[in-house]
Amino acid sequence: MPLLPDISRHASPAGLFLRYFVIALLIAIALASGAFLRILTTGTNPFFYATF
Amino acid sequence: MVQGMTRVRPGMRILIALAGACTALAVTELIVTDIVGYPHHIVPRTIHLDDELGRLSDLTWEAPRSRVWNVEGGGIVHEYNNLGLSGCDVRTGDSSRYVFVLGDSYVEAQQVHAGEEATSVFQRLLDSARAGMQVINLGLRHSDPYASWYRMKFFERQFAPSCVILVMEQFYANWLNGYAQPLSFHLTPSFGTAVERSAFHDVVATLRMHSSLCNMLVEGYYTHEFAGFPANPPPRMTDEPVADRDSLTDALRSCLRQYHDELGSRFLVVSIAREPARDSLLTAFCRELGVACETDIAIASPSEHIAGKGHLNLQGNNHLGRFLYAAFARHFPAR
Repeated sequence: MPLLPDISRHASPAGLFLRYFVIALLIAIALASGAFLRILTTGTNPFFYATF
Repeated sequence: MVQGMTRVRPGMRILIALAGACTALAVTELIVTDIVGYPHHIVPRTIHLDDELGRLSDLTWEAPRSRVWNVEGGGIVHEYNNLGLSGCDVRTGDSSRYVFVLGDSYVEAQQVHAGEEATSVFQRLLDSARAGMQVINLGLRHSDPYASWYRMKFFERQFAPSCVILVMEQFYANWLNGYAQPLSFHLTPSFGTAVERSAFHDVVATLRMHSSLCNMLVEGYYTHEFAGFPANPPPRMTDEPVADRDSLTDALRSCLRQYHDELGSRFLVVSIAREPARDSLLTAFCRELGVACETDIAIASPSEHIAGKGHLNLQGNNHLGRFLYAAFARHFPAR
């Protein structure tokens, strides 16, 4: 069982890097967007702060 | 195997995956920092006040120049001053005399940029009339006069105040009635001691300190953890029992009495509440105590508030700053 998904058995190192980079970027942006959206939506209540 | 391609060894693939992930995190960090403008976190000092204060039992004293994101102000980043408090910088030389301004989020004013808070307006007016007087903004969100008293007691140890102004934007009946009655003004031995944090907290704080992305994720996660909290904002007058709406609570009276007993003529109450009936009661009670009191109902105008009903906007902060200065000049004339 490979440690990482074998998405690119035949890709070059640069191609592999690009694929992992895009996957990680999408995950990071999704997580950040979720956190930011939560901050924005709760923060619209003037008596709640997104600062702790 | 495809012509021209080389098979990448598993060990190398892990390294490439790590490099891709790290680059992706760095790019996301740049987006969060430079495009969104979300600030880093600087670890504040946490000091124990009193268990009776509930969620305010520990005082969070922000680090100097630390910055926070504020949604209500339109996604602005509010920066604390050289002392880690709201308002413009405080000069702390030997010739400085201090004016404490106590209050809640209306005084703290995170919804405007540094230098635009009411206390900054007040300071600029003082600068031109009273050299050496320094305004210290001790406003803190969700603080009532009882919590503000503890806050004052702590900061008194750092800066002896020449006078103290308590700004009340409401009468805090539900907040004050939530404490054990009668209110105790006794300082326990643990008052003013530093609160120890866990190793895990320190690790998270370090990550937040070096990364806006981490800070945003933690604050977003924390918001999630306290998702029930926004639905329960600090109680307003309309939440109070009808019988309490036209009276001052015993708790508020005992708070004002305590301030007066300790500060005497150095104490001033300023009410910007939207309740003329209780303003009259407050004025009468203060007169009976011998406490200086000023009220300004005009700040209640929707044009002074964000979206007409939120915290004070730029105009409202200007208004309050000028009002504080006028009240100060009236009650504490230059000698």
